[in-house]
Amino acid sequence: MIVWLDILFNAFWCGCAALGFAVLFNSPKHGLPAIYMCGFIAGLVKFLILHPNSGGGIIIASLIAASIIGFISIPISHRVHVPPIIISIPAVIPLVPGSFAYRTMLGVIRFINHAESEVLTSTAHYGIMTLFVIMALSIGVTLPTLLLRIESTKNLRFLSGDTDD
Amino acid sequence: MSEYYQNEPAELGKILLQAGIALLKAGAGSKRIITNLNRFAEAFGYEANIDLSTRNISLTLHSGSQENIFSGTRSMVSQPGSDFRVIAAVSRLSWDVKEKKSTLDFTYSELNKALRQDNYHRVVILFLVGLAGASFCYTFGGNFIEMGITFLATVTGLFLKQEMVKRKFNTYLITYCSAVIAALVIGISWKSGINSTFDHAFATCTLFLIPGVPLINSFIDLMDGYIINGVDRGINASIHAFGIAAGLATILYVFNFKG
Repeated sequence: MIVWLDILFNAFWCGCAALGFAVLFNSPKHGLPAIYMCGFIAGLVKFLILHPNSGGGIIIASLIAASIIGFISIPISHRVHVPPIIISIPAVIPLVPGSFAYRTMLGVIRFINHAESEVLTSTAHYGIMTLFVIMALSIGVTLPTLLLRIESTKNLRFLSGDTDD
Repeated sequence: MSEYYQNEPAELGKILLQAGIALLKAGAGSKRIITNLNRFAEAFGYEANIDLSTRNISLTLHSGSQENIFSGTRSMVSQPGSDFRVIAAVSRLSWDVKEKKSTLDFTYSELNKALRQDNYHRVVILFLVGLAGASFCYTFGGNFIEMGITFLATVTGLFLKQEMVKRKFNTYLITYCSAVIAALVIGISWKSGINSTFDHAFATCTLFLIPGVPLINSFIDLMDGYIINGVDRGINASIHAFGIAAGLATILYVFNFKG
């Protein structure tokens, strides 16, 4: 029970972070609720997979969460009449590996004064984790356009009515 | 549209270049810009050939059997930012034009109307981005005191960024200075003993500066085969990331904090 609450709290704050970035990127007002929802879902998926019982790693968690956002952003963007990236980019920003990037930077600074192999190894580890998580996020977000081979969401047959690219 | 008149290619070219530059400034991906502009051109019965970099756009228009009937270039001085409202508006307008077959004059006025849309109020941006910083702090394992301090640091850093953007400083310098100020707030609160732990707040206070849009656009461009533009955006994002790291490192050095 406590675990679920913890995951939900994390997801709630991920949604808030997505909302903040949406405003920073000057997203249209009518898209904001959808962006919050996608940020929430992204956080939910990531922390569910990261939970020890699920046993997933950070990279796979980021990849799956970002892909889910990539896919659900298409029908949602269709509904709120904005291009999908306007929803998907702010929604995955809360998944950015800030703490890995931070530890990488600390390690690099540390290595200047302490030329020890352990420092270098752990720094390289954090650096590669950062890079791979960011790549996972980018690939996840672009995956639908790669797989569905679409020029725009307008031509998708399973959608009906008006939409925007 | 069926009726050809002398000024039409020039007018259309002007509109396309304006829309293209607006999209570039707003941080749209290369493929998106080209798709959008082609949609405009096709709606008026022309074929557009576009050469796109991340700072300028060249365009020639053809019409059926005729040779080049318009060519033009526009470039911009500033770095691309991110303005999703413009991306949404131009995309929407391009569909409207394609479907409703509106006139050139109408398109021109609609485009200008779309580009003149208001931004969010500055206080709203500061508050929500501060909240985003605090949210990051929570998901990284921070407690409520750290969240509060991160909020304060983010708002201070973003305020400086907005002021510096207004005064048209170098964009990387802006990132560095904002990172320094945001980290300084954390450093001062740590020294004064408000928060006992340094890590969570320190790692998250500069996250509002992360170049998320260029970073993801970089990958999107690379995937779409716009390699040069993708590398361009990627390096731009890396320099911003380096600016953030340098800002944090400066404060770590000043406060002599051992991580």
